[in-house]
Amino acid sequence: MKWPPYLLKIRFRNHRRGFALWLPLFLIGPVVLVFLLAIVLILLPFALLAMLFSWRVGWWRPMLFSMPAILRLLCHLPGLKVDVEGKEGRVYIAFF
Amino acid sequence: MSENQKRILQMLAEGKISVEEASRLLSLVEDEGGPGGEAAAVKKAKPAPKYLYVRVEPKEGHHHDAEHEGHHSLAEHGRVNVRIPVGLIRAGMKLKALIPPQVADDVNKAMKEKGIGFDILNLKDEYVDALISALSETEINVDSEEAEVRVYAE
Repeated sequence: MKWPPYLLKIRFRNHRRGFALWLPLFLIGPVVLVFLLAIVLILLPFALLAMLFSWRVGWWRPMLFSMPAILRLLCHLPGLKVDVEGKEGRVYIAFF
Repeated sequence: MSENQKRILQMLAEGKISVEEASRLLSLVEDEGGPGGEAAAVKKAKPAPKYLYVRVEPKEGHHHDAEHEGHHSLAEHGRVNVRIPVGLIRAGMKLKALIPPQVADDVNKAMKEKGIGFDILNLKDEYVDALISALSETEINVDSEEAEVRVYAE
């Protein structure tokens, strides 16, 4: 079974400054999840009303039906590594 | 005649399998033991690629001057090293429904100008799978004056 990334490493460097950051997503994830759940519960009645009135032309439909795909995308992020170095500096992002 | 072929014929003689089944099994056995059998076995044994790599390495002769100590000078293209999980590409394919129609039209138009005529909204998973499996056997290697570009899957 695939799980969302538990760690995000960001490294940035340019001519003036640079920093490296390890983000423990396994700690941030539950907090964000609770926060999102609260927002969804608050906005749900309004969202349902908006969906009802814009059923025919709603742009939200593909977004709603793509939610499982978005979650699947999130679960496949571990292993992604982007390392770009140019004249201006260097950016490194890696999901673990 | 190999042991497997003998066994299949014996099963046919005993009436355990039909002629069609025997024929199918024999063709499978022939594929395994035939001239391409070894290559096919190697292909089967080769694990599916897990990552797609895109690497751009600037050439030495096209570097800019170093602007300060400890900072590498690079060509205009810069150095790129990207590792994308194949599963992420497959999962991303499902999100093509989110591409707004006008954006899809622009993408299709731009690709048609480059001689690639297909509808991005009709891009199927099979095409991506075929592309990735093809990349596991081969490698795109562009060696220009400015940089060396490599695209491969492992």
